[in-house]
Amino acid sequence: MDCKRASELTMKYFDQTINDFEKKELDCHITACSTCRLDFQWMREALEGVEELEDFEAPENFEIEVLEQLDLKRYEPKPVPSKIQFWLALTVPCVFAILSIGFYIRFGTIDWKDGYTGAVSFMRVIDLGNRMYGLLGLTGKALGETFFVFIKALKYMSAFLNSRMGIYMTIVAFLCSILVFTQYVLIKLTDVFGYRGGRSYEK
Amino acid sequence: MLQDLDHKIIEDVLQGDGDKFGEIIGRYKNGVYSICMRMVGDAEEARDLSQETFIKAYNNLLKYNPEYKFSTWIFKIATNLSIDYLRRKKHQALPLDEKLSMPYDTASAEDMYLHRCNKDEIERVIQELPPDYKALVILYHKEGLSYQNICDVMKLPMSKVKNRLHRARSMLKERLKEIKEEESIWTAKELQS
Ligand SMILES: [Zn+2]
Repeated sequence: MDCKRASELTMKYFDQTINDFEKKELDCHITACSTCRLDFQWMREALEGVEELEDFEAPENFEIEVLEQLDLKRYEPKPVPSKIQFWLALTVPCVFAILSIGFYIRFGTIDWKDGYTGAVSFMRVIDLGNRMYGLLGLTGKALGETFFVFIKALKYMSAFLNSRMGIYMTIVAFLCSILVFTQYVLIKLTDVFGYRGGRSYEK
Repeated sequence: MLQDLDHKIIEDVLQGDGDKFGEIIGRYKNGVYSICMRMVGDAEEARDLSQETFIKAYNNLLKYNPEYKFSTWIFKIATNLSIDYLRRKKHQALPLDEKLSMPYDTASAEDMYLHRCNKDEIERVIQELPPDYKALVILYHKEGLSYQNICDVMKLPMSKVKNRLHRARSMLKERLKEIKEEESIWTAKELQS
């Protein structure tokens, strides 16, 4: 065996992939050849030295310093809108819209002075809501006269809308506005085409 | 056993219990700091790099693959950050005297004798290796990573890793031999005078 082969086997030895036969082969050469023997010994010296090195002690307060730099809320679960919520948000307004059209076909548009009392009283509630919206709009206008007030209102509104109650209120307001808007459109259509739905009421 | 504990902690962290990451830091701070320290050879820099390692690990915790040991993963981050740092530093002008260059005295084999290496010499020899080689020696021989792990860590083919580690070993051996020889000459001179 030549010295090149011995150096290959030395590497294999430190890779711990050497087999018994190769080990004997290497042993044989090392006993005979002093250069390879010294190489082997130095190599062992160096690598065992590395293996025996101890860990350094990390600086004091290391953990605290790292933790201070971390966003500890990074993995906190955030409410994710579920699929059910998504479909609910889609179907509920649709149902409301269809319901509005249904009301129109069944009861026709509303004559506020007189008429089919059940439907009328229901529509009156909605009308009241509509008026309230108008009032709210007026108040909003008055408030909005000052820029700072407007900004503040926005701030509070966003805080309100972000709250759970705010979200519910917004949904309700949204649904009501769909109802009111459909009624409004239908009444306008009546004015244009003269059809007053399934039943018409005298003014 | 230890691995299971790591995985349990990581699960808790990912569930939103960020403070638990402190336990992970506690378990691996010395290991990570030692890698950085041996890679860059400067306590200040090693501290910054090992902090960066943990921050990076935390922010990328979702990318951690539990098939591997956590230590392998975090050592990989530490090594890569250190190598990057050394590469960046290389582009900046180095003061000339910073590089240790010892006079090369050839001592005959008869003069040389083997004795227990002390740690400082080994540390010094590691310090003098080029960054990539240094990383291989530390990961394989000090931290006990397998060849396969190192391939994954350094994103290198097996043949290259083996080749480099073999070369790194030879360099380590030669340099240690040199240092020891110088020392023996020194001791001999001291004794004569
Ligand atoms: Zn030989």
